[in-house]
Amino acid sequence: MVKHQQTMEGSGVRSAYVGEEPDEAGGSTLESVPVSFEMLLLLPSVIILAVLSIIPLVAMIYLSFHEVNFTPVEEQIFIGVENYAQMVGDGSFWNAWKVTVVYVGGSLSLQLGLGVFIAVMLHRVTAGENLFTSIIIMPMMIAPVVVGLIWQFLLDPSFGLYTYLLNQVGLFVNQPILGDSDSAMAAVILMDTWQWTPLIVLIVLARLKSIPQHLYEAARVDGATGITQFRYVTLPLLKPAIAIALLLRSMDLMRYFAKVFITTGGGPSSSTKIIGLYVYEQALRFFNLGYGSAAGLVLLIVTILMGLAFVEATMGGAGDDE
Amino acid sequence: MSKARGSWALPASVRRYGPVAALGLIATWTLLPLVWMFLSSLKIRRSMFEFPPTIFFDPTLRYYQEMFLGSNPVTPYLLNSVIVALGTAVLSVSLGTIGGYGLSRLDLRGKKHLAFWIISTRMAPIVVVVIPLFYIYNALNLLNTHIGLIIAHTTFNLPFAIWLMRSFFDEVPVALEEAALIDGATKWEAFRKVSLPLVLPGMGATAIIAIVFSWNDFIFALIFTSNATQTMPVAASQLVTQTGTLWGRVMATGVVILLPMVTFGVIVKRYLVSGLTMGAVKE
Repeated sequence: MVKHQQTMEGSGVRSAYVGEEPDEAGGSTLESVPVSFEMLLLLPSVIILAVLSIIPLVAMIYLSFHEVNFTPVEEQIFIGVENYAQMVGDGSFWNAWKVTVVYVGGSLSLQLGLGVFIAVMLHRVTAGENLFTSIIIMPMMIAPVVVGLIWQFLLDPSFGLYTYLLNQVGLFVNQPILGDSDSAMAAVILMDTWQWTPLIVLIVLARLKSIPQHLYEAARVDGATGITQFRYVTLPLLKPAIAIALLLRSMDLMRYFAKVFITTGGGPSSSTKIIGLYVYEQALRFFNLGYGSAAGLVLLIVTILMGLAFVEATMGGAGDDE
Repeated sequence: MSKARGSWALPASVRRYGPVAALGLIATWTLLPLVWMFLSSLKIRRSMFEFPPTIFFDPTLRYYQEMFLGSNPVTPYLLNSVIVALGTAVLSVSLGTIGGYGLSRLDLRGKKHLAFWIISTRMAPIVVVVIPLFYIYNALNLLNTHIGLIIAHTTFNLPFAIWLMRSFFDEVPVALEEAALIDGATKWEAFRKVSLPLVLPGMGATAIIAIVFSWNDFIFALIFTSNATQTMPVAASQLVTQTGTLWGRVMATGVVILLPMVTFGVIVKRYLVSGLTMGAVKE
């Protein structure tokens, strides 16, 4: 995006200033080191991240081929691909993915629609933008546990404020909102929407502000106004920002499960048990560490593929960054 | 500017006040749970459970008093949260700043792959990191220690800090450093004396957002801490019990957890978009 241009400009200026070998100008002692100065700065982080990511990954792959027992004795029994075979035939594993698709899909579409709408509205008003953004960023700063607790309190069947308001219009009377499969799913989706729609608003708004005014003027000359203008001028320009927003949100929806954990615990009858929560339960509640690792690896692969798409979207097509 | 120029086929009054009304509704939807939470933390037990809910009542600071002065004060948990958040922030921001600078200025063919690998460690699902770390910590006796949780939080804060700091360094023109190099500065001096001062606000924002991530974490803290090292979110979650929950206490605890972070959020508002998108979007 913008930063590419700047880097390019920078290097252009550099060659204009000092000719062919600007890198020689500086480090005298570092010259003898086979790695560059930049690499040297990056090295500590790379080593730490390698330790923090590769060792756990190897451990996880190892565990996924074992049955891990803690009692009566700590032991790992090699069982080959049995964990994976069990996973394929496990209805609750597939159910967790199905629930995840509904949860992620529902949250994303709601948040995208609402987020773009709010951003456009915010871009239109002339005053109060500052105050309004200060308000909507608040939920994003709140611990998911606290968000879960607030909503559990709001939706409590006997004294929740939202239960009361819904009862006034004849909805959910004597019917706990978190106690029914469909409304529980709707509730966890709304909870995440409450907390994270603002991120989409901020991303889309940043992009909206960067659209040059002359594009709109040109569109108006061609007769495009209002909704047509939005559809054919604004929306195409928003696409990259929307892609980034959706990828970030979908990865986070897969990564985190604390809000669901606190409010429904995956229930009623696994209807809100998203994949992260499912893996967590298998590995760290029932201590099927081997099976949990196998299921976790599948989740990891899915999110890594999404991450690849994110990097493509933010850093441009293959190879053009170097 | 010409913000309100669009010509929707709507009456002028709707065009004029529609956006404001819509934003007012959104602000209400955002604030209502928070206001309700705050009010409930000030209610005595009886008025808390009244149906219809009461808006006017005699406020009490009982729950806040109990929280800090009662038999099971939250102060140790608060301290644990602060230690862990500061620990991981210092670690991530110092390494992330020099690492981010290196990544920004690095001229390498596989740079994109390197950058991707760095961020992929941040995007791994929490549970995928927790399982092997639990196993490793168990072997190394790092369970239930501050340092264990600091390391665990660094798994997501360091890659975040590297990417964000890189995006800040990308905005510093290389020409400035080149000028310093011509004047006889070493590369380290060019980094330290020229570029670093320019990204100090960015460093502050990175530190604050790293603190927020750490402070708000629940799953790592749940798995890796016991009573002595428990952080605030875990302590809050344990207030909800089958045998009757003191909702006033829960709401008051929630207020204590969210207030500093919401304040931080408003302080670094300008950096929040780039922060939460790891530098992918700039305002």
